[in-house]
Amino acid sequence: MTLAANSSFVLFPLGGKRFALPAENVTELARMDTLHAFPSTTPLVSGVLVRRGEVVPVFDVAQVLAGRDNPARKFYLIARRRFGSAVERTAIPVTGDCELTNSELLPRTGDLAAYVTGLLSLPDEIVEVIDLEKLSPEAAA
Amino acid sequence: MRLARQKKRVQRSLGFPVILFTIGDNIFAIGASAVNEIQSLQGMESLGSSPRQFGKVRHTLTREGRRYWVVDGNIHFGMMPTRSTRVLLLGSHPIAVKVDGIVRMTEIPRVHPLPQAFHGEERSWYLGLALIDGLVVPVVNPETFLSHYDMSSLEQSFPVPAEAQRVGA
Repeated sequence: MTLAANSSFVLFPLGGKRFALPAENVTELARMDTLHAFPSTTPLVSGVLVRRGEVVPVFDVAQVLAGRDNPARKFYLIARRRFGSAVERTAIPVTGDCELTNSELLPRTGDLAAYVTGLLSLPDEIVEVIDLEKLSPEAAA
Repeated sequence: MRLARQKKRVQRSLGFPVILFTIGDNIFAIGASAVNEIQSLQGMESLGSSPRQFGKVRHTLTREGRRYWVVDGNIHFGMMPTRSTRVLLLGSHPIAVKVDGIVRMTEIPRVHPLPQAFHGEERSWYLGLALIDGLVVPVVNPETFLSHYDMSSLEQSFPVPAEAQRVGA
């Protein structure tokens, strides 16, 4: 069953795998920049970046998506995250080049993690499409 | 008339005076108006074995007859112990905050709201974030070092000795 016609997705690598976000949620790809960290207790949020005067939180999802590996991050994928009615830009450290693709979003299968909203069937791989709102450290278990 | 009003507004928003202080590798800002005095650690008195619930308050400091509860900044912000050298005596409550050092006083043009992505204790710790010389500095909320409940519980657990009350009076 297909959920929708072809849609655009941004593929991003983390460790040895690639994941995808709906392209409409991605605003830019940025080079690594100074991470400003300060004491906090929010899991996965490692600090903030300053992008053209805007404070952008860094949502380091690698420990959930890439497991215990700690791959070197090379870029920040900047995407929108929704908090109730508010939308906020978030920087996601990724480990390599990102790619835009058009593909059908296939339904998720039952045994996938809750943060996987669907799958993309690409020529050499099946890519999980991620829902940032559902990513949490517990999801890594 | 209109121009004059606009000018006034600009002047008002130019600067929010803050004191920059360090704990470990971190720099924090606190509104200068919230701080009465900055002191060395001299004269701090241990509470002995303070109850577990007051883990971040292990000392008191008495200045001009007023007893301050000394909040350990490292514990408050969940940081590893470092070498404290100063206490910030707050004005609105009898609270002193133990910190490593004072950097300087400065003015910040604005306080950026803490991004929504932060949903932990930091939402109460900080009023927001300031950009100072290319650094992002959290602006601490002086109201959240100890709650009124914490302070009254501390007062009950460690009443001021009668002799000290007479001296203070």
